[in-house]
Amino acid sequence: MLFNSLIFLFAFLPVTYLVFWSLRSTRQRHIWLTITGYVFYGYWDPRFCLLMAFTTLVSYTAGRALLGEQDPRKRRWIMIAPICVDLSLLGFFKYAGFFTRSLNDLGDFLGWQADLPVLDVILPIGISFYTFHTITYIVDAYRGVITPTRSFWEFGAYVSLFSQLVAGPIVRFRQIEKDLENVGHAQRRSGLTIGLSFLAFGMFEKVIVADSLAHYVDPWLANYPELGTAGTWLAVLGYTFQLYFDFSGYSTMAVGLGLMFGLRIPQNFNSPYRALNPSDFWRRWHISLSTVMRDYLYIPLGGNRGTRWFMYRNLMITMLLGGLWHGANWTFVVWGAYHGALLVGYHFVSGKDGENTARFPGWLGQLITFVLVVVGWVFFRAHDLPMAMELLHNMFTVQAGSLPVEALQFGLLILLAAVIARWAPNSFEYHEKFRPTMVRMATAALILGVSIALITGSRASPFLYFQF
Amino acid sequence: MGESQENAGKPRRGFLSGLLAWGAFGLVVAAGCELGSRVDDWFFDRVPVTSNPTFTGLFMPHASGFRVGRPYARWKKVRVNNLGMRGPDVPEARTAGCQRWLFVGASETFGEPFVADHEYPAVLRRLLAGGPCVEILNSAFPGIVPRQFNAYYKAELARHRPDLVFIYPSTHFYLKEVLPPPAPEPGTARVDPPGLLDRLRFMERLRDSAEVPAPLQRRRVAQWIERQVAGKPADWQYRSAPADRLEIMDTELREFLQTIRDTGAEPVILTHAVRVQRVPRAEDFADLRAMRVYVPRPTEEGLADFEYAAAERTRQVAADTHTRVIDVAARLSGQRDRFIDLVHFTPETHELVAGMIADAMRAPAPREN
Repeated sequence: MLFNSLIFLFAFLPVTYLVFWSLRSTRQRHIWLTITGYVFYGYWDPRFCLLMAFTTLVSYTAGRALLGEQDPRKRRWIMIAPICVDLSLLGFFKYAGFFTRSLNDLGDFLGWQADLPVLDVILPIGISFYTFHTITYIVDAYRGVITPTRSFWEFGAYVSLFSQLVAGPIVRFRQIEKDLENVGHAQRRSGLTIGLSFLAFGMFEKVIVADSLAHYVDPWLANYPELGTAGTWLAVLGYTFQLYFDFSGYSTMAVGLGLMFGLRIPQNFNSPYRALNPSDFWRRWHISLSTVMRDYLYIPLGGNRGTRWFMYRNLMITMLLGGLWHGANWTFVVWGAYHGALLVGYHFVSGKDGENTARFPGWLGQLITFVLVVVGWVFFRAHDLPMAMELLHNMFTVQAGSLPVEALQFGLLILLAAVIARWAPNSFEYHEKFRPTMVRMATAALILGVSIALITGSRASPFLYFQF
Repeated sequence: MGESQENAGKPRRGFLSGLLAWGAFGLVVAAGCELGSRVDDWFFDRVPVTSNPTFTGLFMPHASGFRVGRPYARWKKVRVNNLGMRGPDVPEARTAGCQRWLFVGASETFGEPFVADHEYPAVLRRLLAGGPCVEILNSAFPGIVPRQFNAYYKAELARHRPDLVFIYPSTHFYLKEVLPPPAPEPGTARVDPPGLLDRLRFMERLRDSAEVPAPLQRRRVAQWIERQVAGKPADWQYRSAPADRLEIMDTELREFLQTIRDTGAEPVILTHAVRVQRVPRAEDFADLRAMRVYVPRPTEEGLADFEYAAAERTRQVAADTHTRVIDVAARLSGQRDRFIDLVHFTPETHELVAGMIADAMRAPAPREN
């Protein structure tokens, strides 16, 4: 089920909301949130509910086991076992085909004729997200950062919470634990107004901006060999903003929906195209993923302790795996490596404390970072490496080619998106010190109305991050 | 994040003021729906914000008694050209050195209103671009019955002086209980102004996107057919292709072909294809039953049989009159995945049909012995 669908807005959400607030106890609300999460998820394909239920059960059991276990060695195994289960499921469903295909290709290259059977498995939607939810829960429980919950329904509600189930943000249990525990005493009215305002803001980003850009980006990039230099730049810039507003819109809607149920979901995007450098970009883009990668991979690898080269190695490993997390394709691996190289390059140039870049004008840093990020999106969007190379070739050499007739409209949309991304307040800035004034609520209502109109038109599209 | 602390210490709002506030919120949402629909149509389809395009607005009454296309009208993704036909503008007078191909048909040829330029005449226009100049005129409009083609051609279409006239007759209309007259009474055409709800573009979007659940829809159709059949004698229903209706179709098609030739144009017939097999499969019945809302007199089996018999008769007429025939029925009938319902093509099928026409027109025409 999509947030930007009529069935969600006019059936699922009102029913879920009204029943939730008519329930009295914390336990009842946990059960209801779990049930609705499975309905939300199962609407896409009910078979994969079993997979999510299995992951939930394994991690919950491990959490309970950690509660009573003091022996460090046993605790370590209790942590490792469920993580292996989670990663095996993720590996099977997401990467099995990719690895066997890659091994076959490598075999062919070396003349070995590997001919391993390639599995084309359907990727369960959101598996990358809920797997990270359960893994971070287990690791935090092992580290003693959180106390594992004794309530199965509280944990079930955490994993299957519909607002962040299929495309994040990756909410760690510790970030939402208090709200889940107090969900029976949440304040309905204040959550509803601010939640609606967040939802409308997210709708604006996703339905009005991202989907309008997609109207041009998708057909243009489908015919990328025919695009010249200008056309390719326009298409890639369009995608740059489409991706941002699409994913940011989803995250903003998730925050709004969470607030409507008394749950505070953390910020996932903080105007990333204002970033001054690659390091700053990763503090602003998909914050929940980059902090998970930092806390559960980069720091355990050694982080920036030790020599510079040790830190560079850790950065590269983290970013490569971060790239691979996004999809089983070499384009994502290259994208991760590219961003790893940007971070290494930035740390190399800036010095340990950034002293070498302190004199750099802010606007220049923003511009360079933005262009570098745009180049990276080429790998992110391309179906394969030859497509990425051809797009880059078209961008950086003068190529004659067709410029579709709607180029002016598309250019105007990109300009509007750029202005919003760079200068307008993001959703959390807009809602700082939020008061449900008449103007604010009327604005939210108008945006919701316009978004519903566009959803009922023919252009509504699924969220880009569903594929991850 | 600035979670609000509003209302802290304030008296609780009364029920009435809350109701008013949420009522106002709902009204603004509704206004946003309409505004959004209009701005969306304007930005992506160039439909003026203040206009109220409707299906009936695509037409205007003609002195002949027919409704004809209203030049430059719009509705959904439909753009009517300067000649009142779906497609881009075409010069009023024939362009020197250009062939002019005219398409006559109903909704199958007009195409879906939700998508622009997917209908087979539009695809053909793209296929022929870059070759010798051909002007494509798509005069089809939904609901026109084939027995009125002849009169419509004489009254409105012949003046465009086509070289070729492609006919795609919706043969199932010959099964209407009471056949409409071959030509309407002159001066009787009416185009009703749209009602208030029809003027709300969001309502139209909502109608388009809302789907009646399949079981409910099946029940509605079944009840409707039951009402139409109730009280009729047993032999009233067509259980196989009725010979008299085939004869009428045969005669009128021959007359139309002659009319076209009399105006100096060459007719080309496309046989009418359907999704179902002649002896319907279990999965064919739902499509046939849905069509019975328009033609309740034949049974599902009778309707399928008539469609196949009509295609055979069309081939026979083409052979007798030395008319070029493009056998769409032979190529597509019975292939469920080629259609979205009993008679309308998928976008891929529109492309296939356009390709069949392009190929056929490269082949030499049949000659009289």
